[in-house]
Amino acid sequence: MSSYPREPGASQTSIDAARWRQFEAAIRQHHGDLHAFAYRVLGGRSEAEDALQAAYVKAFRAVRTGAIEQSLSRPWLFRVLYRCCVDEFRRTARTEHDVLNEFTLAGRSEEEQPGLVSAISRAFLELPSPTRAAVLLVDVHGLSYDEAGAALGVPRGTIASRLNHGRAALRRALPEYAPEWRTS
Amino acid sequence: MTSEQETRDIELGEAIRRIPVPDLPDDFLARTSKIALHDEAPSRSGGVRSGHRWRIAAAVTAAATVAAIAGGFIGAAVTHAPAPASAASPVLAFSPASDWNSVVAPLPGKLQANNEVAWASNVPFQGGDLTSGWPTDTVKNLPADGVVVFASLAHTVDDPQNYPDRSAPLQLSDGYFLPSGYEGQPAPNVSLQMIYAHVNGQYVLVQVWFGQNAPTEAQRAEADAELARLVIPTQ
Repeated sequence: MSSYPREPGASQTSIDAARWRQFEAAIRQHHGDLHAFAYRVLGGRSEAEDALQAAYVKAFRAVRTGAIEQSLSRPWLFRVLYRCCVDEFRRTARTEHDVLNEFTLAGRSEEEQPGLVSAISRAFLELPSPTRAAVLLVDVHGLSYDEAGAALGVPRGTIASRLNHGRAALRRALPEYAPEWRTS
Repeated sequence: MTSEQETRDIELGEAIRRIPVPDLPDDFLARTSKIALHDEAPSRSGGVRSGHRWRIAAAVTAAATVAAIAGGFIGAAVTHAPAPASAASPVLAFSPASDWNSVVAPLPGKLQANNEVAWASNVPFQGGDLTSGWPTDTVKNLPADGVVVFASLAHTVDDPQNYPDRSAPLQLSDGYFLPSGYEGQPAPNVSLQMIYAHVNGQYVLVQVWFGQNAPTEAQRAEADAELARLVIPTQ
């Protein structure tokens, strides 16, 4: 990205615009997953939108200024996004209760949700957000423990511990809808 | 070590994927590119901040519940004869006007210290809005010529930089317009004007819903007239 060739006579603006197009093409394949991750961590539409926007702006500027040499890898994008999610939590002074409240209430305005979806929404959002993030990265988005640890800024062992806790809590909360999920 | 053995719970992942994720606005990437290219600070999304909204909604609902238990309406809920409000009104309220209904919703003790809520409509309140404390049904069923003005006030907020200094009366032009596709849009035909303002030392969020995506000049003038009747107490 940072080596995007300058065309003769091209203005800085047009070069940046071309860089953005290149950047956008690179992130497009991850766009849906990144948005879903932000929404499920933050539990709010506006908050997810703001965090994703901040992450893209940061990622683009890092690439444009040559601050990073690596390509726009999936783990790196999740790392940038997760930091923006944490900032968003702090900025809006949201509590886990806010998240749960909104997610639960928002669900009611959707088509009537099957019991499982409703139950997992509630159980999932009752987890602490760092645990939610670990479960999302590994079980939903397919990152390795090392990649998830790098994204969340914690050691591999912490990821394993959060996964154990999160998975067990989810399975305990859902026996009514999926009895086979019970761990004990 | 067993706890660090790498596993993936595919079944659980599939279940979590079923949690619905709302769509992003169509212009999301275009807006983001503008911010990135012009070195602007990231913008706030168009919708109401979730925490703000639900704190207020919860507060109003709680107030409604308390009022209902007490056997009354929410605060001074009146039809075609709104609660009197003057320039010296000590609370957020709409001055009386013919053909407008208004509600002043007192909040429970703890929240009362920081928040006030009032709303008005040029159509009759619908469904259980007077007892729910939130104009959900009225907004959802707005006819084309309908207007609902909802104002909430906070003495202090976490993000004062998002409330630009304004002077009363507020006007539609103090905010921004969302014709459709915004967060929480109650019905496809309902558009929204959002106004964040710092007035009289208070932090005010006004939401004006119109019953059509392109409100007429007459409708906008009607909304501005009602906004002119919004009395914002001085802190």
